[in-house]
Amino acid sequence: MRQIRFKTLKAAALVGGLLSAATLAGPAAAAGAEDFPDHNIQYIIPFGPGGESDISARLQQKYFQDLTGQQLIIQYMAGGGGAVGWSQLNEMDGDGYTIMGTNLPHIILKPMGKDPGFKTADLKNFYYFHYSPDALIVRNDSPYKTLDDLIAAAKEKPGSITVSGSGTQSANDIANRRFESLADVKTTYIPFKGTGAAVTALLGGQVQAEWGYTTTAANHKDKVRMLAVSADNRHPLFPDVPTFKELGYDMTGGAYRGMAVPKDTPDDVTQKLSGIFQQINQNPEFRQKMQNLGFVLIDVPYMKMADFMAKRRAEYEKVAREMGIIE
Amino acid sequence: MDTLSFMAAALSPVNLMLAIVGVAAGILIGALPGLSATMAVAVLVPVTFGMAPEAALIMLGAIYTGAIYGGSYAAILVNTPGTPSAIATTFDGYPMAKRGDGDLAVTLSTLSSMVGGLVGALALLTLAPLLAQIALKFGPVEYFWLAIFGLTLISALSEGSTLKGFIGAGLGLLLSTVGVSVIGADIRYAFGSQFLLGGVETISALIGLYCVPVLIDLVATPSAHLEPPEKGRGIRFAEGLSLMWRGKFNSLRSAIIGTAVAILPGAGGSIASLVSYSEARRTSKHSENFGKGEPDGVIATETANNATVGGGFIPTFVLGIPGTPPDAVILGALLVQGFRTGPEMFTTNVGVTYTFIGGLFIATLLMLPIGLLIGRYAFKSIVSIPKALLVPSIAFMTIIGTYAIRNNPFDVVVMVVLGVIGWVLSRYGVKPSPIVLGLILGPIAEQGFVQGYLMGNASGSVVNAFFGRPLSLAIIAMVLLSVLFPLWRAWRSRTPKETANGH
Amino acid sequence: MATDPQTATLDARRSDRLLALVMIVIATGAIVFSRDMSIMASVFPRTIAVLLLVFSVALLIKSVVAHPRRARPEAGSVARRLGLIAVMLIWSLSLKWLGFLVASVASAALLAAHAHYHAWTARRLGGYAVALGLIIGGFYILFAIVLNVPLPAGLLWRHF
Repeated sequence: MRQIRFKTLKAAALVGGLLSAATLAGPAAAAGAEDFPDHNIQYIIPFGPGGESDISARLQQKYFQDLTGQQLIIQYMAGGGGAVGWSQLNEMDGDGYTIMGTNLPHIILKPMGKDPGFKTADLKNFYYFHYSPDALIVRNDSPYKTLDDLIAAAKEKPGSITVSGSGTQSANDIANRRFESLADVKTTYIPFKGTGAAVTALLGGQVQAEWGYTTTAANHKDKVRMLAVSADNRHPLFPDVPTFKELGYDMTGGAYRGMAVPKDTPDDVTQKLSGIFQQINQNPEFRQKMQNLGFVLIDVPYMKMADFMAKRRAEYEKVAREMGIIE
Repeated sequence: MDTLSFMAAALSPVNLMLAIVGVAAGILIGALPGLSATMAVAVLVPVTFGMAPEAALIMLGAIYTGAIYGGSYAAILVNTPGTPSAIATTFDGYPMAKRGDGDLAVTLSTLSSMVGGLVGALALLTLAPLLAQIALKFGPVEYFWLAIFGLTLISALSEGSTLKGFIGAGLGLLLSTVGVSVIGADIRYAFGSQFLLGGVETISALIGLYCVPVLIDLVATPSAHLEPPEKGRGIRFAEGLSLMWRGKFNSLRSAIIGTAVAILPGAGGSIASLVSYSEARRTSKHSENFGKGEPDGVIATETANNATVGGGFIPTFVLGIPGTPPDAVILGALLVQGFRTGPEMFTTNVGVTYTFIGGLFIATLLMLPIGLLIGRYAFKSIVSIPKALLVPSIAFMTIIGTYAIRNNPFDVVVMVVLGVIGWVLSRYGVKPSPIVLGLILGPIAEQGFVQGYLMGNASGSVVNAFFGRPLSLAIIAMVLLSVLFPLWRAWRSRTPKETANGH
Repeated sequence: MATDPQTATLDARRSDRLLALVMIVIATGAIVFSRDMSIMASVFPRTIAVLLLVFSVALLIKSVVAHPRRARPEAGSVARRLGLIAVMLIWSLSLKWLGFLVASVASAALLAAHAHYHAWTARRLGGYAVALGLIIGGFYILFAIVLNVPLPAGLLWRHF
C-alpha cells in the first residue's frame, strides 16, 4: 500500500518540481519597464475578503488580464483596520510585482493618533481609482422623508437619533462628525464592525439611520432610501436623491480607494502601473459595472498623487481636530 | 413544479462535475489546519468569473460544504480544528481516534455532516424569507445576551475545575481585546508592537492551543500517535449508521440549532457547534462519557456545523447580509458577476437560486461517497506514518496553515507561543476550550454591550434596552436555564436514588 | 495501562498557587494598561480583568484551605518536549529572515531526528529524507503555486 502511495507522490513531485522551476525562473528574468509586467502581480488587500475594497479589486482583475496578459492575484492581509498590511508594505519587494490597496481616510487618520506602525508619507500611492460617496440612509418605512425631517427631529431631542456606521474614526464616523457640525445637531453614533453589521442594524430597526455609502444603498435598494449623498453630483443610479451640497451643507467625500507600491519601487515601473490602472478605469464596461454597484470613479494618476493627498490631508486634519484625535 | 425543474438543472453533467470537483477540493482544503472554508472559497472566486452564474454558485457552494466537513478530519485525527467550526469535534473525535476508533469517528462525521447539510439546505429552500426576518430582530443587546449564553458553556467545557474554566475564559476574553478596537479606535494591549495591532487571529490561536500540545506530547514518548485499528476492518459503515439511528434526535436537534445560529450574521459555525455539543451533552443519558470519546458528541457538532452552510445562505440571499465569513466572499463574487441579492433572488432570479440550492443538495449528497473515500485514506495514512515523519509533517502544516490565514509571519509566532502557554496551562488544569470560547465570544459580547449601552442611553433607559425586549428576555431565560439546570441535576444526584446502570 | 487515570493524581496546592499568582499579575497588568484607553474601549477589558482577579483570588484561597488535586501529566521525556518547543519557536521566528523554504526544511529535519526513537540506518535515513522532502515539496507547491500564497522569501537573501 505504501509503495503505491510513494509512486504517486513521486509523480506529483516531478510535475511540481518543473512547475516551481518555471516560476522561480520568472522573477530573475524581470527587466526594465518596457516589458513590465512579464509575470503575475500580487495585489494585497489589507482587509478581509468580501468587503468593498475586495469587490472593486475583483472588478479590476479581469481587465488587468485583458490589458497586460498577466494575472492580478488578490491576497488578503487583514488586521488592525488595514494597519497590519500597510506597516509591512515597505518591507516587501519593490519590483512592481507587489502592490497593495490603500484607503482614505484610513491612511491619513490612523497615523494621527497612536503609532499604527506606518506613516502616511511612507506609502507610495500610485493610483486612486474610485470612491464610495458617504450617504445618510434610512429604512423605507422611516418617518424621516427628507434630510430636514431628520435634522428637525435631532434638534428637538439632541442625541436621541441613533446612527449606525462602521468603527470609530472610520469614513462613516468622520461623515457623521462633519454632518453634526455643519447642521449643528447632536446624534448618537453607534460603531459597528464593518458596513455589513451597520446596515443589518438599520434593516432590523435597531437604529434610526445609518451612515453608509451609495454602494450600501445600491445593494439594499428595495429596503432603504438615502436622504442625501455627499458627492459633487447626483449619482446616476439615484437621480432622485439630492446631494448635501444642494441642500446647503458643504460635504463631499467618502471612502477613497487606490493602490500603493513598496517605497523602493523604481519610478518608471510605478509610472507604468499607474498607466495600466488608468486604462482600466477608462474601460466602458468596467465603468458601467462600477457604477451599477454605486461607486464613483475618479482618476488620480501617480503624477497628481501628491496634490490629491495634500488636499485630502487638509480636509481630514480639520475633522481630526474637531474629533480630538489631534490637538 | 418550477422549483423542481430548476433544481433538476443542477443535475446537468457540467454542474455535476463542478460539484464533485468542488466537494473534493473543499474537503482537502478544509482538512488542512489553517486553510479555512473562507480561504477555499476566496481562492476559487477568480476561477468562477468565466462561468455562468449557476455553475459558479454550485462550485462555490460545493467547495464551502466540503471544506466545513473536511475540517473534521484534522479535528479527529490530530486534535486540530481544520476550521473554527470543528472545535467541538476535537472533544470527542480525538479521544475516539486515540483509542482506535478513528475510522468510526470519520464515518460518523461524514454521515452527520450530510444530515446537517440537508437540513440546512431544506431550510434555505423552504423557510428563507421567514427566517431572515427573524434574524433582523437580533440587535446588539440580543447578541450580547447570546454571547453570555455562550459563556455559560464554560462549565460544560472545563473538565474538572469550573473555577479554572472561568479563569481560562477570562484569559481568552482579554486576549480578544488585543489590537485596534472597533469602538473607540483605541490601540489596546499592543505594547508598541505593530504586529499586535491586528490582534490575536482566532484560527491561529486555535491551531496553537489545540495542536501544539499534541505535538509536544507526541515527541515525549515512542508510543504510537493513534491506536491502530484492527486488521481487515472496513469503514464501519453499518456501525456508523446504527449509531446515527440511535442519535437521530440529537442529530435533528443539532441540525436545527446549526441552522438557527447561522441565520444570525456574525455568530458563525463555531458557536453553532459548541451550543449543539453542550445541548447534546446536557440531554444525554451518559453525559459523563462526553469528552472521552462519545460518538454522540461527534454527531452533534458535525451535524450542526454543516447545517450552518444552508442556514448562512439565508441572510446572504434574502437580505444581502452574509451569515458567515465564507458567505461574505460568495456575496462579493455575486456582486462582481453583476448579480443582485435580495427578494429578487426568489422572484426574477429564481432560476439561478433554485439551481444553486439544488446544487447544494447534490454536493451534500456527494459528500458521503467522496468523504468516506478520502476519510478512510486520511485515517490510514495518519495511523501508518512513522512518528519521525508525522511530527515534522504536522508541525509543518500548522506553520504554513497559520501563515496563510493572513499572510503574516507574526501570526505564526503567536500560534507557537500560545501553544506553549496552552500546554503549560493545561498541565495546571486550565484547558484550551474555555480560552478559545472567550476569544471567540469576546468581540460579540463587548460590541453588543457597548452598542446596547449607547442605544439605551439615546432612548433614555439603559435598563430597558437590556431587559425590556421580549427576545432578550427569552435569551436571558436560556442563560438562567443553562446555569441552573446543572445545579439542579447535581442536587438531585445527591439524593440516594442513583440513576441506574451506565456502562 | 494498569493505573486508572482517575486515581493517578498529584497534589495541586503548589501549582494552583502559582497559577493563581500568574493570573493575578496578568489581571492587574490588564487593569494598569487600560489607563490611557477611552471609556468606551476600556469598560470591557476592565470588567473582565476584575472578574479574572476575583476568580484567581478564589483559586488562591482554595489552594490554601482545600487540598486540590490535579491529573498526573502524561509521562515522557522532558528534554524532547523542550526540544520541540525550541525548534518550533526558532522556526516561527526565522520564517521572515531565512525565508519559508530554508527555515522549514531545516526545522522539519531537526524535528524528524528529534521524534525518532530507533536507530538510524542508511536506508531509513534516505527513505525518511525523501518522504519528508516530498511532503514539504507537495505542500509548498499547493500553497505557493496553486493557492498563490506569497510565502516569505527571506529578508537575509534579499541583498545577494
